[in-house]
Amino acid sequence: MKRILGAAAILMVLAATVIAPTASAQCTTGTGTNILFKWDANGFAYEPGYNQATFNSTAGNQVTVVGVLSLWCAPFAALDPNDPLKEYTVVLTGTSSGTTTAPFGTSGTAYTTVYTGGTFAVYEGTPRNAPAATAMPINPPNATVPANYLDGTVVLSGSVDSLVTSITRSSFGTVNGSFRGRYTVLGGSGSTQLCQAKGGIGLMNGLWAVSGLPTGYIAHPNGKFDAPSCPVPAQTSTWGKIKTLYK
Amino acid sequence: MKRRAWLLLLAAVAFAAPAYAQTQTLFGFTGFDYVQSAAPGGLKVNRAAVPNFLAVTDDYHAVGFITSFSPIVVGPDMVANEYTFHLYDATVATSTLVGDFLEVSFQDNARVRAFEDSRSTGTAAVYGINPPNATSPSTFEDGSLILGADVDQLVLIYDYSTSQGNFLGNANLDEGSLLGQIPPGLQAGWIMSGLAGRPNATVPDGYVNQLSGELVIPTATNSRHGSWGSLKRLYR
Repeated sequence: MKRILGAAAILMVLAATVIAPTASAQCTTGTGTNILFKWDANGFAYEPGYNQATFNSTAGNQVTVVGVLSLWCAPFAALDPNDPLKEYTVVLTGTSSGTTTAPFGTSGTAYTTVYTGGTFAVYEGTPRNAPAATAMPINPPNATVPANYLDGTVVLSGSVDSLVTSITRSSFGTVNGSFRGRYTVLGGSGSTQLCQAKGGIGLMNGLWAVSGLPTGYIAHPNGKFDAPSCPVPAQTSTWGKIKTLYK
Repeated sequence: MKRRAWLLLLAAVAFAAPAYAQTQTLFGFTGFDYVQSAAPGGLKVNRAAVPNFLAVTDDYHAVGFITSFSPIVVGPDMVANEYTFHLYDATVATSTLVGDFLEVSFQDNARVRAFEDSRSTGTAAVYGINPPNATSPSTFEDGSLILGADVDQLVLIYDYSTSQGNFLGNANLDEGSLLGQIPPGLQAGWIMSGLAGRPNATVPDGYVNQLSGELVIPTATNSRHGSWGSLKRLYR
């Protein structure tokens, strides 16, 4: 029996190695919290009424972010973002609370926009039909944006609260940005592979580049979702039992 | 001569882009940054994250993994190999903390290098804690050098009120085995940018921020219509 168990253990290790050969190293941080997925070049945001010159968003308007995943990590490391037959896309939304500006440094200005009530969904679609990052169709929404990012099976979905974008024009004249938000998993076919199928909360953040954009887009995000936290479930107990712990 | 013409044509096709495409990404990356400060004896020691984490003369480092390559470079095999990078020689020139905003400029001539290391015969990159340590940056700069760039005008901004920031620098590619695939006219003018701040449970002890970024060139060369005759005339 011991030999069978040993052989099974070895097979399991080998299987895990085969399933996740490429993603593990770049996903592993050593802290216990790792990246869940990431996207790079193919990530774009658009929003009606957005003033590109002043980086000002109108309160009440909705931002939409579309992206094609470039990296999957555990527990989804078996999914291949480069599969020629499948495409993994992410779509985010959020409602603007308007933009505030603040000075910094000697002559810099920061433009901060908070988006609330957002949603996210990650799709597995066939075939790969999202536009290339170098050929984004202008002025979304259009025939393929966001439609070709929204097709397929929902792998993960949920809510996004307090998505904050920060664009900075530095005292040295450089312009760049970042985004940060918190997401909660609420569903999707892959949600059962997480520590909790619903309610897991995680960090999403990354670059929010605003230079050299295709017409009609307000930013090029390059970002990632970290794996959601796994809270320890509460247990019912009695005062007596708690007292016993400290005696 | 014909071969050269074909190569030029292929390069033009590879970099061809519709008029509305304004950027071309070379690679995307993820990783972490850390800071080394001057210590007695001229040594540089790791300094944990504190407000104004980059003081004048501090050395800024970033290590991590390349998560995707643009199709403009041929050869990277993400299955067989691990691709890593190290940004170093980024010395703080000015550092201003006003309110919640930190603004830092760096001296020119920082350097970023990207490496290819076999997953089967090489050494896997490991962050560890409190870098520099036994594995970082050493395991992020082993293997073969595929691309390197001089990084100038690097600027980092961080807003402590929203726990986010960004960095951006101009990168001129000048070394590595893949350099020859980048047309000479497109080796300068790249922009390296990224950053993803803390609090962030993924950040190992001794590192400061998580990174999510890329190396992009702002204006891709557009394709032009031409005849074989006009192409041949260029080489007569």
